[in-house]
Amino acid sequence: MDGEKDLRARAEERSSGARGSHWLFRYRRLLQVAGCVGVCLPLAGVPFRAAAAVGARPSREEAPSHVIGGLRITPVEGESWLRHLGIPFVGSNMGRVGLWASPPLNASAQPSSGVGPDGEFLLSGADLYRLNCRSCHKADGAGVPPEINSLIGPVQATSPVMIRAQMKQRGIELDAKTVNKLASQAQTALRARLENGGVKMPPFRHLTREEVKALLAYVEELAGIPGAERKQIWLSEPAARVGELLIKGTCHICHEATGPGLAISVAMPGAIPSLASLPRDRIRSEVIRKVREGLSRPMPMMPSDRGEMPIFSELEPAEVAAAYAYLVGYPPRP
Amino acid sequence: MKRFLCGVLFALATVPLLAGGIHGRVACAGQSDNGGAVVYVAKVPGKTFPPPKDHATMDQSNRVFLPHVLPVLVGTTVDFTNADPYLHNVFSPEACADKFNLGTYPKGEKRSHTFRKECFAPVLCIVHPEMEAFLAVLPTPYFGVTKPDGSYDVRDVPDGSYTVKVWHPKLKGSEKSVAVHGATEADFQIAR
Repeated sequence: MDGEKDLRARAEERSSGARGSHWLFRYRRLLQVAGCVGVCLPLAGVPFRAAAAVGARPSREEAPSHVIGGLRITPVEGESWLRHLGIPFVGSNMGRVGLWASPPLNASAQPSSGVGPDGEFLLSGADLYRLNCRSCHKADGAGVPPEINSLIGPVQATSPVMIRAQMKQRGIELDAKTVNKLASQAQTALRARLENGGVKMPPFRHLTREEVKALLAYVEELAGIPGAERKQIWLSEPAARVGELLIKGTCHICHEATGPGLAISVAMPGAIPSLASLPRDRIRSEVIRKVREGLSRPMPMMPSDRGEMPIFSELEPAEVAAAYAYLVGYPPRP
Repeated sequence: MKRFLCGVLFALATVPLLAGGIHGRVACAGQSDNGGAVVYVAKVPGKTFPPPKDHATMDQSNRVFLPHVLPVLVGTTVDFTNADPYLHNVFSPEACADKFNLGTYPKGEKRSHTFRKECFAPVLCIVHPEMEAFLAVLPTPYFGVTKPDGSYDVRDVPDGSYTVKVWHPKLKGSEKSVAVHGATEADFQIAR
């Protein structure tokens, strides 16, 4: 009961902390500086730099900030991940289970950090998880076994504290060297999985070191690793990067980069229009509605016929708009 | 002719019963079934057994080590395979098993360890804490594992008098002297 009380108290503390803070605006000056670097350079075709705010929740207002390494935005290209795997859309849960669960209480239930006054997004690890991982691994990280594996076990295995606790439950005392070795191996394996993908998981090589750091800090929190809340970091990134992450991390699982557009959905019910066709065939507000609320497909058989595309209400309108702008600014390639 | 054929069939049917060995049942008190107990000949006086050339195998499939209990002779190399489409890690905290740690590896990969000392060692996967198996590294090649009904069969034991022991992952072991003459029966009862 005490544990339950603790969890509730922590959740309430986080919740009130999120409501009461105006950290985005307290960092306005920082974001303005970072935004100049982050937004202007990619427009000029030069790799941009993003800013990271690093801190320990709940006092993230006090977190120090620094500029992180450069990264480059590239167009999405090639076949969808499902086509790459040879799996039909109707036979898979990949890319469509983002709403099947809620984040557990022990993880920060953060809303999107949103857009700052200068157009920069401030992304937390939770945001990166939402843009890249949630549509397959669900909000709670449990996945949909056996098709989509849970990430909780592999993440818990990276924590010496969790390893000790798990072994203690079995009545086994491990020495520090063994524990650290096991944790280190699991950490290496987890990073390799993110970098190279797995049997069904796509590789996420486009993530920067800082993005990986933020993401791993969040999944540690999701996995209930003690102290993970103090490792959270926030990255200031331009809209184009947010769009790139969303398109590559979520949309490209089902949508081909190039190919037929909406007309294919009319001619062949169940067919999926390409990413390249979206800015051509739909205006931005339509895409935002389609993604977040669902929208009838062209010439529906029934008024409620919105096709097979899942609803992604966990995404913010600004994030979908960023994805739309990314498709316009960085046209997909075959 | 008929008599001859009947004789041949009778001979074939009785050969396994007459071959040397120990069989019987182990009753495991308080367990859901009687499987997973290792019955083995503790020592054969004046005889040593070279490490076998053939490797034993423990697979990981659907987050389960298979088999759950694997008896091997001292010196045996065990291949730990991964049939699951995700990463597994294989290690043991037991010093007698060299605290082996094969790291984390994907489907289709196989990593091995040679067990050089007598040992009863848990085998664990740090990625999936629910996974557990046991290695019984034994001094003689005369061993068997009980089926869920408690029956076991230790084959090809030469005639003689031996101490036969029983080991179980959760229960206290047991032992008794058994005089083996052909197919010999020995039952055991073990409890916490």
